[in-house]
Amino acid sequence: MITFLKRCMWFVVLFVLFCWDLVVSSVLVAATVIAPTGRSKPRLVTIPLQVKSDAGITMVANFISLTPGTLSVDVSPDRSTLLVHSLLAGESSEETRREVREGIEARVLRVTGT
Amino acid sequence: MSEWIASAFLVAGGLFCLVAGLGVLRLNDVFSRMHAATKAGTLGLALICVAVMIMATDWLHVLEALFVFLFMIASAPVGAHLIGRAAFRINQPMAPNTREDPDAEKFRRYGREDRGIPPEAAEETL
Amino acid sequence: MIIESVVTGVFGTALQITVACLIVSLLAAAYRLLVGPTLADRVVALDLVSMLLVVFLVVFKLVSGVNAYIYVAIGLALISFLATVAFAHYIERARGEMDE
Repeated sequence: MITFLKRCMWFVVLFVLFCWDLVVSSVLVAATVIAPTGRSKPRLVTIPLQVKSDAGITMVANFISLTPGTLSVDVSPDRSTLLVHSLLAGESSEETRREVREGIEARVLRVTGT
Repeated sequence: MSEWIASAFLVAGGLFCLVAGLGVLRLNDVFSRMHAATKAGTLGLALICVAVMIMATDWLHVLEALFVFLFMIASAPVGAHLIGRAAFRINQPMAPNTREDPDAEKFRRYGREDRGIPPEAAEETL
Repeated sequence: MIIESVVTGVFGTALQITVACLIVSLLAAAYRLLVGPTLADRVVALDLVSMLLVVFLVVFKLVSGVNAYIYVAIGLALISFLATVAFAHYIERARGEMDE
């Protein structure tokens, strides 16, 4: 019961932070669109997943699509890696990976448990 | 007072919808266009639903606006993911300055296996 | 149905600005739908058009004061999602048959 309530609480936290992320990402996209030329540095990034459950992977993939700069493209058949299109990653993919691992994935892990 | 707040949300939502439209018009490959359509469009709808909620005279109307918003948040990223996957698997042309992780090539192979195309034959046609 | 309430004042101006933004955005999406170099571009544009129509219906609920428009918006959102899924599947399959 306590764990259930805790998970509900983390879900609310996830939702509120997600709304903030949606605002930030839309402003970034707006800046990219309005900038004259050449601001976007797109890159295809592979992200190893820590979440194992189906519901967890679905949530991570959906939330990635609505958070700053990233859009989920594909999942590997063994469900261990996610392919992500990043609008502003540039030369290195480490930063995108770290943001996803410490941001969305950590929050989803607290909700789903595994 | 609530009229002013609702007006602010309404105009902000309209401007984000405008950004979505301009993004689809101006950006230079399918994936970048999808970034604009998904994120800015969803936020525009969300802000306008908030304006409807503020102006509502009945709790039922608040609930209905919330339903529109929640349904769009659930369905927009799924749709974008499916179009993105299809575009990636058929090798849509990307913007010339796009970089790739070395592992990305593996995902193209997964896509071909998924459609039952033998790897050697596919290497020639793609 | 006859539109009875004509909104005026600050809120009326806000509604006018919003509708103008939506119309420009719809025109941009329609251009991409007609011209878009590839099939995937067109599907993305179609997705955006249907999403903008949902937004337009929600705004029109405010303009007219007729609450039924929001049910239309919910229905249109459901159907446009199905259309997007079907088109995505079609893109993948059409190319698969071309390869063979």
